[in-house]
Amino acid sequence: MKSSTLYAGAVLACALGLSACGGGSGDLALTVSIAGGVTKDGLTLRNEGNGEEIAVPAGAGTIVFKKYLSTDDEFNIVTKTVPSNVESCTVTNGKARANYYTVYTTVPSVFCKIKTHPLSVTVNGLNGTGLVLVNGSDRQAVTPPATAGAQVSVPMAPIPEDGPYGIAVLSSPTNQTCTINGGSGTMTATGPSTTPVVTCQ
Amino acid sequence: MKFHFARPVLVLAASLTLASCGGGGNETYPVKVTITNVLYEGLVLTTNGQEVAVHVAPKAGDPVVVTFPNGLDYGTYYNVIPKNGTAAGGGSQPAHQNCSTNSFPREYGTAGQTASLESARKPAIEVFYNCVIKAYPLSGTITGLTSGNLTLINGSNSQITIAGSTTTSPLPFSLGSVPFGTSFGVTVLAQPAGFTCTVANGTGEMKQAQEDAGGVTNVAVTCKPNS
Repeated sequence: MKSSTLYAGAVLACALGLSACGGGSGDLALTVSIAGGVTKDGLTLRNEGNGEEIAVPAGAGTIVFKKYLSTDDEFNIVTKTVPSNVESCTVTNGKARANYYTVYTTVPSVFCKIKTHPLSVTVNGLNGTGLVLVNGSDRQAVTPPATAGAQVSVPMAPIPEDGPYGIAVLSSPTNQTCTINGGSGTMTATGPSTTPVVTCQ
Repeated sequence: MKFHFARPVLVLAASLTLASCGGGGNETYPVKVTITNVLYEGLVLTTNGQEVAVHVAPKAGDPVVVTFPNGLDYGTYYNVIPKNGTAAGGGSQPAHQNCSTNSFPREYGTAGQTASLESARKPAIEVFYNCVIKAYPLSGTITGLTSGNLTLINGSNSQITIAGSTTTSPLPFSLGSVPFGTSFGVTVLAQPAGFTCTVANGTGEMKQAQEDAGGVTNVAVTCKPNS
């Protein structure tokens, strides 16, 4: 009851045109934890409570809004813009009335999910069993085509946009040796920067 | 407050009707441990001179709940840790894993001081552990890289750029650790200006032999000037 009375008073004071209003006078530093790997510039957060916007630089782990909040100021953090390689961002604990608990204990956080794109590897000349391709921890066994030596397309796990990939042969097919061309590259917004081709003979 | 009043009344009632009370002795506190993500056998937990073996759940990784054989008397200090280990891990752990705890409720305390949610009916001490797959180094050396920058990757998992040197050869490098049971494949993402580098011993799996050796540390990258 007490706080809502105070709040009403503050609103009234603001309505009367006092210049000190605007949320900059408190002592609570609104901090946001950034998760999910923001690898590029372009994320802008907005506190709908006071209209402040702040740009989050690439790689930042936390960001602090410049305007301090007073106890009971309402904050509501939303993502205004996201980096080009981000699919969507989720804000957790982003809306509350400011107090020590809501600002410092249940720290607001933003999780951004990076876009991914498919990567497939073309395999030529395969006739034996046992070929296994890896992209780091992603492992794909390749079954030989019905017609020996026919071209096979091997889908790998999707690759995060702007992230690297590097195809290697973990195990070779029986009685064949395979070499890779264009196996390493970077996933761009429009697809992989190389065309990975495995040739077995 | 209500609870505190209710308890003495129950005790009083119990002492007045001894015959109908099961047990009749001191109330003891069972020590219950919930362990998440156990994927392999081998974890043994201890407290107060007791041991309990933790087995993998029917669906590996599902939470496992174990209770020590004997409950503790009120006021007894307990400290639930892996046998010969600590709350941070070590000792009798599952194969390829390390189980630890650092959250509340803590693994130590005094019986009766803290109680689980079900304590109104059945007092218990609750402790929580979580297990993670151990990861091992993936590293090696680069020879012949006297200038420029070489970028090596392990698929989409990790990346490192090494600058050439005229004074140091071979140059050591280390990519991100690889969890047990996981494959790896080191490739060149970007060749240094004027050189072509090739990778040997860069592809494999982190299996028992690699774990026993403390990781894969012999990835050999050779760089030759372009002619």
